Amino acid sequence: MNSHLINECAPLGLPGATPHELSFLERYPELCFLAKSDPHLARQVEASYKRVIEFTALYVAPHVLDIEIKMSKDPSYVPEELLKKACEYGLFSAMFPSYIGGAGVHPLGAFINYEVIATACVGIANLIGVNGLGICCILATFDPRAIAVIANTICENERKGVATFLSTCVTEPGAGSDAEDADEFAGAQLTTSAKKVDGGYLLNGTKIFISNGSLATLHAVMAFDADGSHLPKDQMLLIVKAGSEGLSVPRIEKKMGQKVCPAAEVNFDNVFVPDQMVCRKDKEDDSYFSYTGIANVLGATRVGVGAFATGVAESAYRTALSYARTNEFLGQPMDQQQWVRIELAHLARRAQVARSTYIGGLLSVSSIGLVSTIASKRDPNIPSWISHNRAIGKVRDTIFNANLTDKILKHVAKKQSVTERDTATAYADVAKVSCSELAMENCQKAITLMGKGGLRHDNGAEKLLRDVKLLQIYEGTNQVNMLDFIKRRVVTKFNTTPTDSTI
Amino acid sequence: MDNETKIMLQKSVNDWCNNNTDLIQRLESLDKNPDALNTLYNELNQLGLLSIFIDPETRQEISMLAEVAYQFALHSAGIALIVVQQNLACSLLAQAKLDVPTGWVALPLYDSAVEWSYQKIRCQQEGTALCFNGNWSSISLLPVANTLLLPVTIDKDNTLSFLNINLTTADNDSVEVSPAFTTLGLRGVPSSDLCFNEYSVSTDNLILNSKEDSDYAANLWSQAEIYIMAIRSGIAESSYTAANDYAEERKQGGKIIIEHSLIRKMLADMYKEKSALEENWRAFSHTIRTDSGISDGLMGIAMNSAERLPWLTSDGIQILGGVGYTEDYIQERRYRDAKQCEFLLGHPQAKAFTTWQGNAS
Repeated sequence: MNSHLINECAPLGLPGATPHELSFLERYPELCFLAKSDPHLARQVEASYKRVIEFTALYVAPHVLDIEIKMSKDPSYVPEELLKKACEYGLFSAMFPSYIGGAGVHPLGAFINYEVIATACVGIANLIGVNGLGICCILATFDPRAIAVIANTICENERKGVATFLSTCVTEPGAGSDAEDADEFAGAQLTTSAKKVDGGYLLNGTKIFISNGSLATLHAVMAFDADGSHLPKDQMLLIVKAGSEGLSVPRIEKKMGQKVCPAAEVNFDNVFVPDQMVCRKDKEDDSYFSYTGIANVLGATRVGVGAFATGVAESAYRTALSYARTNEFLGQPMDQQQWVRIELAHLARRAQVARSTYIGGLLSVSSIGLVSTIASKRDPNIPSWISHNRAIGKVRDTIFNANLTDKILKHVAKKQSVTERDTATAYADVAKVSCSELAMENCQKAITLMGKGGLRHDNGAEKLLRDVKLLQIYEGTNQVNMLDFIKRRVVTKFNTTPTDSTI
Repeated sequence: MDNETKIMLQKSVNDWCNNNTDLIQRLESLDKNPDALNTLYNELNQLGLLSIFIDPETRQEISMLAEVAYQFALHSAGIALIVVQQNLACSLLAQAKLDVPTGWVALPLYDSAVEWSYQKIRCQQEGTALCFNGNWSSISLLPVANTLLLPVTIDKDNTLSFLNINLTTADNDSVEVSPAFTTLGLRGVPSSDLCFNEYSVSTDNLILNSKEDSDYAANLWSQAEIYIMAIRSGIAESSYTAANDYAEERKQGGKIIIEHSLIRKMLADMYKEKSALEENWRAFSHTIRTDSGISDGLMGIAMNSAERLPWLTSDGIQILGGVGYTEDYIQERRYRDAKQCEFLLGHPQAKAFTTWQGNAS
């Protein structure tokens, strides 16, 4: 591996911040089995990892602080150059199979890549990675038409150097974490609704804290069927194009951290959404986008937060190491003092524990979760000149629109057992909570070690402490994740449902 | 301090803060209006809050300054720190029998007394002339101060003194003040770095150079932990109140979130911690001795408060959820300020080593 690039990958490009060099498999020993059982896949994951290290080293790390300052002053600022480079590296379409026009990167590789980018800036990892949340929502509907629309738009734009952002509109002013849990839907104050009209639906409501809401080309919007009874089975997923009449983005939040990934309010005022942009509205078919869909999505995306958090934990370690190498404590070089070395060792340990935890969750979700039903098969590696051909694309879209494809996908979806789904989601809960807590602890401890130097923006550590807090909040607060975990793994052993009576 | 004075103090600080929310907001902004700190100076000076603490003999004002710091910290930890800093400067100057100058006084508030001698400032003395070289990082209020008070060690006899210089007349080439840098928290109190390049001054600029004076300064620094504890306590109190108020209003899962036992547990834990923080500084501010540094036990309590506060404020954000992470709610500022406060008056590990060494010796 190119050690220069790894060096540059140290957060903020600080010199001398490089810890002991590790090869890919030394860094991810959990994947050693893969190198033996599926060498092709292992090579693919490693190649993708190296490309993202290059992208991060050259185009993310050197510009992070500058971009952050610009976005602090103007939350609507868009880092155009960075996005162009992300397109060149195929980061927006990476997970799509090659027959749709993507790079066919296996989810194992894609999530590891998020960790690498998060090592330099978790906000940028989120900016790119949050597309995965929207994509997962659409994949979870197993609606081939919707999948084709999204994939074509993202892949075609990327080839033109235009980043396509897909926002996922779930949270509402009256419903935060409860909207992240299928069991809480009934009690949640979700008010966004879609009313059936000729040829489509009229969408009304307000969504808040929508990551990339102000940048999105497409919005995946969760809404209730206005003619339904506000039950999980009445939940729908609609894909809305930016610029649609009645859609507005009145406000971009001023966040404490992760400023690079803007969170916005998105309003829908009688927005017409054509039928072909509405996923799975056949309610009689057990509503794919209800409990099953949400559980599947969270199973995948909460592992992604674990990957982000691991990047932050690693970054905290590297930043403290760099500082210790160049500063003194009570007149002695910091890195020559045993207690400092022990603190650094604990920072490295926590980063490694986080990595092992999310890789465990990732293996679980790749084996038995949502991702396994769609993306675990080896990509056929269709050359881009074929997949990008318009005529062939039309044939492909016709196949995607065929009823047979629809039935096959439904069949695939139903193959997944409840136990498998719950296991994968429970692992994802553990990964999200454990990694974000380890990352928080690392950020706190790194700054404590650095002392007053850790409080300065130009040293990078203070940004980590601001950024890391959001990891304990989005994708359901850590408390909601733990309640979900206990429900899937433990609650069946309880005699009664907790009454939660007032203490 | 009698109860009547205390109530009057609480009321006047609270009234001032409630009438100056715009100024507080401007001070915290990254794009600071340069006039904001000037306005603050005039306001605080008019209220007589910059020189509460002037009698080095009796120091009866310890509990009063702690109360003022606490009351300000409920609204703005930055202003609370500014008040404490100016009063510490005032006390040092009073000990040196000097008048308090007009304008802000810069002090190195992020270093403990034991760390002073490890700074990379060197001073050579030739007759009545002193020549300074070296640098000192993160000096509080330096970008806007008229006066600098800096603990220095003279190479010749290794004695500790304070350098007292007027920054408005100092030569910019020999006294370099970096632009204010962005910090994690306490953004209303700008800091910058100082660099001396062959800076020559008269020995008249050295104050507090007797053993008694340097002990006084070290003790003052140690006792200042009380004020910083009061500031931390104010942050904790306002975090708890904000979380509690939010929990009483916000619904989740169809019911007010304070009705969820998980939230009640989190609030109960926050309440326990913030009550302990308040009880500690209040109790100690009345019993502290003026002729020595604080006890090892109190230093331990102060360090625990520094360690616990960032987690308490983090829990505050957790109860608020997404809105707690936005700048619309002050909770994100409390989270940042709490961590920044961990390092006031020195590196926590340096304090721990010093406390232990004092005992071991």
